[in-house]
Amino acid sequence: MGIALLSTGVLLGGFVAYQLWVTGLFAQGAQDGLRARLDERISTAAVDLVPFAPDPGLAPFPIALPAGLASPGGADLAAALEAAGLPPATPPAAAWGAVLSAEVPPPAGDALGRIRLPAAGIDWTVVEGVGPAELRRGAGHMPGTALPGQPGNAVISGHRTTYGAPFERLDRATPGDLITVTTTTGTHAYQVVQSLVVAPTEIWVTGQWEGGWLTLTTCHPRLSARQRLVVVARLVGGPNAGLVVGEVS
Amino acid sequence: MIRAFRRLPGPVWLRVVVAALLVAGALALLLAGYEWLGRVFLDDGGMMG
Repeated sequence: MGIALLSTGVLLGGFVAYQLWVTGLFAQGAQDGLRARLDERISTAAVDLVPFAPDPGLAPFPIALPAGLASPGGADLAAALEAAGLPPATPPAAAWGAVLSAEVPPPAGDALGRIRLPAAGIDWTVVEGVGPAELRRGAGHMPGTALPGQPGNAVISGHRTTYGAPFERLDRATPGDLITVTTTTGTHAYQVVQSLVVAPTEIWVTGQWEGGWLTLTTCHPRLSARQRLVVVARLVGGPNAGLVVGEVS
Repeated sequence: MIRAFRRLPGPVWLRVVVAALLVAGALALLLAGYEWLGRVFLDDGGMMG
């Protein structure tokens, strides 16, 4: 009896230690390599300047958003980014005309960009893909959705409890908070406009909408995979913001 | 544990190898179980769908 209880305790303790501590070590080790890999990609990857034409097939953003948010791309954006401890948004590559800075997504598991959201303590390298193997390395970009800074909706998911918990404090993000995502095309600035809790099956949040959007998803509540905490942000600065600003309805 | 080790067949060096393989296998199974439990009940990565 005593041995059975002791064994159960050791197994449960091992489970907790593995999930909360060991998996974090795995993720941290992967992040160290990914940060260097991203720097390498940024210094060597080619940025394509492509003609921009709005996609008439994209639907308008489906959620009524809170009023009173700052104007996208406003003159105060640089000061707001600096005050938040974020890098400045990359200026437009060309005149704010119909030219878009585009990139080819990296292979699954490779470094795509670096996401920073100081209000939620987020500073992680994002990998391409949202499979279990990719999300063990950091936050992951959902294939088939827009790349950060591009027209449409870029969806990035991350663990909230295990594997370093990149989105552990995502619930602290509030409307108005600034996010930057640095990729090979530059630093793109987003502004949080909405947080919501949905079921994991509500894939409409990954829909592609008019303008430029960023959707962050993680487990909710903490220590449970029952629901999803979703934070939606709109593109307000960066090389493409003049073309694909997320319109607020 | 020692009794189980002594019950293994063969010379000592073979018993050590077999024991090491058994421990490694048990550890791999345990970690796979931890992974599965964590993914299902604790945190599956937060992706949609």
